[in-house]
Amino acid sequence: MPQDMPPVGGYAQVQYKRNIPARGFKPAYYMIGMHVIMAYGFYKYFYGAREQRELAREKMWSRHHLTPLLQAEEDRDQVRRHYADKAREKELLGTDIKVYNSDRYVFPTPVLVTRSHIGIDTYCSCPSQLCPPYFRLYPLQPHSINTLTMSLWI
Amino acid sequence: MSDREARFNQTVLVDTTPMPDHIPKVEEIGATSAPLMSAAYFIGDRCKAYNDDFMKCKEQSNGRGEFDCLKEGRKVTRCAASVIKDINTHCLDQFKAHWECLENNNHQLWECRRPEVALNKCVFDKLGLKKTLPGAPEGEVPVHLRPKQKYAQYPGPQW
Repeated sequence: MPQDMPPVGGYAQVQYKRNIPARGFKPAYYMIGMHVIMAYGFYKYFYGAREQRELAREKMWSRHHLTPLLQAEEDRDQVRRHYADKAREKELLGTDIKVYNSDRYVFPTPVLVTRSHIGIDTYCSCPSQLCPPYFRLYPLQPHSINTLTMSLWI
Repeated sequence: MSDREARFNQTVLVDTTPMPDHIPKVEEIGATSAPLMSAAYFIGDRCKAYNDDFMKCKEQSNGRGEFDCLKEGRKVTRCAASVIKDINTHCLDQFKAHWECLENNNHQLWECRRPEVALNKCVFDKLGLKKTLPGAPEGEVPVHLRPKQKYAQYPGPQW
């Protein structure tokens, strides 16, 4: 049986390439068009941003002009409340009380303060062998008291 | 399930004690935000000295400004109240149109250029107060005088 051979004159050309005319413009034109559109967008953006900046300036200055007025009103209200508080305290307690640094005797309550309480367990300026165990006696001071507790003490 | 009654403790937080007598009384401005914003530049024009004085007093009084600057604060309030009163006397219609426009437009000044121009003109003619925008770039029309407002709902000429 003879071997299967190519036809005489060789095989016909295989058309692997599409033979369609190229659509549209040259690619460079698309590039140019994109840049034109972008330039227009940036143009609009810059002018819009400038106007926004001016509008923000206008708003801020309107507020600057009003700030002293509103602040004065608020300050008067705070002062009024402060004097009302003072008068109420005086009515309740009969006298003006100094909340801090008063002469009231505070029994020295020993409080154990460890390093973690004062936040030095991660950092210590001295070498660790020399670090003293941080036990100190602190008199327990009232840090924040209100009128009710004050009236209970007195 | 539970029949516990609601107790509103906000009511006891409101302190209605009046100001003690040794501090002189002043009537508060009593205007809401939109009229204040509408009149802000005129307040700033007439009351700049009082405003600066008050703020400087607050700055220099070292944390006791609430007590030490009461006098300056009263001056500020009286001056602003005089501006509001004058505008109400002379330009009530334009003023009302402008602040109602602001109220309806989220306090955005650029939406209300038409009533603003009318108000500015009336206030300048009758009271001599002028809206100026400090710090605006040189050589440009200040933004409140431009007929076209880019960010308004209608961006074309406003008046």
